[in-house]
Formats: sequence, structure tokens, C-alpha cells
Amino acid sequence: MIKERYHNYLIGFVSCIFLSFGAYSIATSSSGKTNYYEIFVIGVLALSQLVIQGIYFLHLSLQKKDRYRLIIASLIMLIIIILVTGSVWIMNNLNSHMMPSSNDMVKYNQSQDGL
Amino acid sequence: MDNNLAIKAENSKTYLGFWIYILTDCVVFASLFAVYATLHSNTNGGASAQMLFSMPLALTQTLILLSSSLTSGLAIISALNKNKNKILFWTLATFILGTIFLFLEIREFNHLVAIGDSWRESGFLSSYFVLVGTHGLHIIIGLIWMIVLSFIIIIKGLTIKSMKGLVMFNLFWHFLDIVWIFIFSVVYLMGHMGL
Repeated sequence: MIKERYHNYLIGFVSCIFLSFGAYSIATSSSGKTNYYEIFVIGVLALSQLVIQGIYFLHLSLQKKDRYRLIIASLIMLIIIILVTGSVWIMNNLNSHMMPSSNDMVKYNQSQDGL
Repeated sequence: MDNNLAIKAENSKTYLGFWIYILTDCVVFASLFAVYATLHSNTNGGASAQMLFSMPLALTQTLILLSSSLTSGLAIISALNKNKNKILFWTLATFILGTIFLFLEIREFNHLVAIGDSWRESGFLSSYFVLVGTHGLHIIIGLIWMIVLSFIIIIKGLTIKSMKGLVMFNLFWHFLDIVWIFIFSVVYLMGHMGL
């Protein structure tokens, strides 16, 4: 069992290094223009590192003794997803509705009487 | 195997409670990530993430923190083998790697402030400093924890209490590594690609 855990640590470490280098090489070889496909791939690599570290470092599993930790973790992940996507969605919409470009402001001012 | 103290510590309620604390800390970081995602393009005419961050430095920090995560795990393996000296050795290795990581982070902050990109310049830089600074603060707490833990293990030996401390510290340190992976991906890599 100790040996198995030792191997788990090594597997997790090596695969995380590969994934980090993979994400790094995608980012540094990109043209500098925003490419949503590449950004999506980097996001997926980060999430797979999360899963790998969860399994091999935090030894989460479906076994009975780990189940409580897994259930709590899944619930918190749900909260985090709602929190982050919700905030980003709302705030981006606010930005586009409440921050007219300076060009629009000038046009608006000119359309008003007495300005 | 079941009377192994490290296993007992991992099956204790203390460990489950600490796990819940870790997940609430995740919510703190998630909020800071949401703030960063909202503000990262508000540069106020100043530098953006694309111009500012050094990619090799970020990769070095990632590898250092990942290695320290491994050494902290090896300390647990030594605890399962009931080898006190090895626990102390791997904890020391984790401490050294953590200190190097913290040094690099502080040096980067210093550099940013020195070239006139401090947290006062724009919404982007404020949220960057808060997000990465909070992570650095956790690292400092982890470093202090390691010192205290080593003294407890040296003085009291391998008791159930010190083993609980060790497995909880290990969880905390893995958690910091996971948070850093997301900082690395979202702030540094995606910033470099001009998101």
C-alpha cells in the first residue's frame, strides 16, 4: 500500500510536469493574438492537472472511506463554477451596458440640446 | 496497517474538518479569480499582462512548487514507514523549495513596483497583486507551519497529534500547488496570449 502510494506520487508528479510544459509551449508559441481555441486547450490542461492532483496527490477515490471528502469537494466545485461563471457573465454584461466608448459619449452629448 | 498513526490521522475527523476548511479557502480564491477575470482588461492605459510577465520565471515557479508538492508527499510516505529522520528531511526540502518560490514571487513584485507598475496603477494590477499576493500569504503561513511542525516532530516524536499536523500540512501544500496551477494558466499563460 505504501509502495502503491509512492508510485501514485511519482505518476502524478511526472504527468503534471508534462501538462505544465505542454500548456507553456502552447502559450509561448502562440502568435500573441487572442486565439480562443488555444485558450480553451490551456484551460482543459489546467483542469486535467486538477483531476490528476486530486487522484494521485490528494488520493480521492470512490472508495467508501474517501466518499465524504469526494462529495464535499464536488459540492464546493459546483459552488465555485456558479460563483465564477456567474460573476464573469454579469460583470461583462454590465461593462458593455454601462461603459459606452468615448466616441459614443461625444455623439450622445452632441445629440443633447445646449451641449 | 490500520494501527499506523499516519493512516489513523488521515481517517480522523480532524482531517475531514481540515478538508472542509481547504474547500472554503477554494471559494476565497475563486472569488479573487472572478475579480481578476472581470478587471484584467482594465489597464487604465498602462501595461497589460502581455507586456508585463516573464514566462520562463512563471514556469520556473510552477516547477519549483510542483517539486515541493512531491517532497511534501514523500514526507507522508516516510511517515507511513515511521521514519522520523526522513520526514524531517523531506519537510526541510519542501521548506527550501517553498522559500525559493516565495523569494521569486517577492522579487517579481519588487520588480513590478520598481518599474512603476504597482497595485495603484490600474484595476488589472490591483486584482493581480491581490490574487497572487493572497497565494503568497498562504505560502508564508505554510512555511511557518513547517517550522512549527518540525519542532513538534523533533520534540514529541511520531505521536498521533504530530501525524495529524503532518497530513493536514500536506493537504494544505497540495492545495496551494493546485491554486498556483490555475494562477499560472489563467494569469500568466492566458495573459501572455492576450486574453
